[in-house]
Amino acid sequence: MLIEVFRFIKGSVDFEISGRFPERFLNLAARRGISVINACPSNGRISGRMIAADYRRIRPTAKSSGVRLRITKKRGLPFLARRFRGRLGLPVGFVLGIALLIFLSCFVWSVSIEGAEQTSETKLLRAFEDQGVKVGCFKGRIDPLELRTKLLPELKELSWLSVNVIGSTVRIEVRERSPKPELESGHPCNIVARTDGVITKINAARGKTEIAEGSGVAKGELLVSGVTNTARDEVVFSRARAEVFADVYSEKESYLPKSFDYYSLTENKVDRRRLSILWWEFPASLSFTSYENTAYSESFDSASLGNNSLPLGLRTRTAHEVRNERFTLSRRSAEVCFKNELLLYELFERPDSAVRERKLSITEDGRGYRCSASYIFNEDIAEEKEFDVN
Amino acid sequence: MKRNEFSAPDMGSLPLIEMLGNRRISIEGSTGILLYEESCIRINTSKMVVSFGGRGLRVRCIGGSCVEVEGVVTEIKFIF
Repeated sequence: MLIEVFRFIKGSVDFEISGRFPERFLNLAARRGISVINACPSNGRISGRMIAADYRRIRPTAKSSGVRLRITKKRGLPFLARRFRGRLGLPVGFVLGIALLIFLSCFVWSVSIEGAEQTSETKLLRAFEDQGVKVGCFKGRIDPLELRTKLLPELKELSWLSVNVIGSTVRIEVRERSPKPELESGHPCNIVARTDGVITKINAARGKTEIAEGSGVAKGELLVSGVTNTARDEVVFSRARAEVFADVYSEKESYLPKSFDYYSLTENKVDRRRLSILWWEFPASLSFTSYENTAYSESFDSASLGNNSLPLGLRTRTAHEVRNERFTLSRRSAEVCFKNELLLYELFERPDSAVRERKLSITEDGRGYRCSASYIFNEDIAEEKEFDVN
Repeated sequence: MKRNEFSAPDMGSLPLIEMLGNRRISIEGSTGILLYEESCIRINTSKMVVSFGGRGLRVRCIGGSCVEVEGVVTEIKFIF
């Protein structure tokens, strides 16, 4: 293979020897240290291949030895270059293209992160960007060991990271830290009420139950004790564990103004594109449209070759027109809004509570509507409270 | 028997022939190719002419004093 490349660079010729004694040519070539490749006899002639420079060197001798030499094919770079001699732009462009490719391969074309499932990739990319690892940075400046030493203490959510520079791609592999399991402390504790309520159900796994179902409790009151007596009348301190469900009263108030400014996106938008090559950006579209109120969104499409992204892309910044409207709320609409708000409150702020009762009252004043919601939730009010044993 | 009565031939001037089965033969000590055909290749050495007969014979490479022949060799003759 290497020899073939060498022959291609130097150029070679396929030739045919004819005459009374073609073997003599082979002997002459051998004596002069010229190697003849694939010398094959056919019909009193010998055909073969030889490096172009050797052919030029041996031609006069061959003539004097009485054989006739004829070139049948020319191969290799010198002959290829001669063909494009009149078109200087082509070889120059080829050489410049190669030079540009070599130059660009000194820089990072893309940065990818693998293994980030819970951690934001944007956050990781920004952290690496702060350390100088970004698209367009010089590859030689990247020190994987130094990056790991600097970034691993900063990024608490990671337990391991590795920076691999493969070609012009920086592949960052990360492993996220597993959350620490909560270990039950061996310290004795009581179960007390987290809030006021009426007990509906007690599931005591360990400890002595101090209250009965149906009784009312105040915040901080002892529900299940960690101090128990054995049959021999010995006192045992343990860690009480129980689920204590109670009906809990809760109130929530919210307010909506009668009229307010409402901002919404219209269908009007303008795209402004910029061509991005490594760290350079050039405008790729022209637009003179502007809106009074505008919201922007941005996207980046990078060109890729197979699975490798190239340092070439199109950044599109879209300007959306924002319409400002004065909106007046009716009592009926306000009621719908309040109901939706309460629904969200139940779903997201009290996800573990069951709604036993919900009462809604809406009052109206000059400026807006006020909603007072009173709830009875059924929820676990057990709270562990450790105590010291001296 | 006298000690000098039997003398060994001059081995250094004889060609060194190496054969890989009947498919490849290399000869060191060649002074030139005398005949080059597909069925017969004759190689001159300082003491003799070595003739190879066979099918599809070809000179694989030829150097200053070394020739490598490839093909199906069916006979070898030494002509003095």
